[in-house]
Amino acid sequence: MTTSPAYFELNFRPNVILVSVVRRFVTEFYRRFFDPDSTSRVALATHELLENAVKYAKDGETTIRIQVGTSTPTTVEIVLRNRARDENIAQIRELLAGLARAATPHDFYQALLVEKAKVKDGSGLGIARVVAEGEMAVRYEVVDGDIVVISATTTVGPQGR
Amino acid sequence: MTAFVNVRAEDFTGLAHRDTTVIRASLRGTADFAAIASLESVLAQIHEEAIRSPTHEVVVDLKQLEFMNSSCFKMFVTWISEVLDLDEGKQYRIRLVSDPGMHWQKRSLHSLQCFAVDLISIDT
Repeated sequence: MTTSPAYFELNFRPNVILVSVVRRFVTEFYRRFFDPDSTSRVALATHELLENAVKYAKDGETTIRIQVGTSTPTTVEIVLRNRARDENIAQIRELLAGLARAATPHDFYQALLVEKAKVKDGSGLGIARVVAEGEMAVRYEVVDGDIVVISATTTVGPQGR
Repeated sequence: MTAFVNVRAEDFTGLAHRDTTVIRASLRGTADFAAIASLESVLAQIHEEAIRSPTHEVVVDLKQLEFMNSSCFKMFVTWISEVLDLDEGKQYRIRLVSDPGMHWQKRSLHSLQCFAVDLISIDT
């Protein structure tokens, strides 16, 4: 483990090919710090957040910053910034409010699976998967009217989880 | 045995064949955005074949599936939902064969099993 926070930031126009490239890249990055299980869940969360950006970024431009702290347990933070349409901002707001009301993220996720099972377009599961399977806390804020900043954080113990 | 499903994309492969009343399928590679159409085709063909001829179980080997995104994961949810919608006598069980070394599978397959606990089993 390094003694200062490790981070990187990418500013790019994501597309589906780049999302998979970035997932493989960040998996290697996480592997330097975490056990295989934690590496997998945080990489999965990163992928879902990036795909979300591909689908909903208004102009395609997205910035992703990933920081791994130095404390024990280690904190990982993934932050994405992009411009989004009002309806997409409303969807994120509604989804995170639903998650906050649910007894557990797992309960919310299971209810969402039932709801989305027969919906043809899109999965609608990405952010909930970040929380339920990636075990990350997700919050968002809107700045300058249409810039959505989504932050996902989790902790990883020195021996992993 | 002849595969009735043989889908090969750049980084994704889906195969399936019938073994009496069992359908054995395997998915390999990466089930991400680029594999959505391929996976949709694989699952649709498996479901169609399972309905066409008596089938008590579909075994899906995921041991070499490196990753699955939420869009592909949702296709499994939709498929399972379609099986649940069948008359009880026509329903078939789904057995997912996982690799503990593919860590994403533990959480994702557990979520699928919770969705249809009486229908799905997981082999590790």
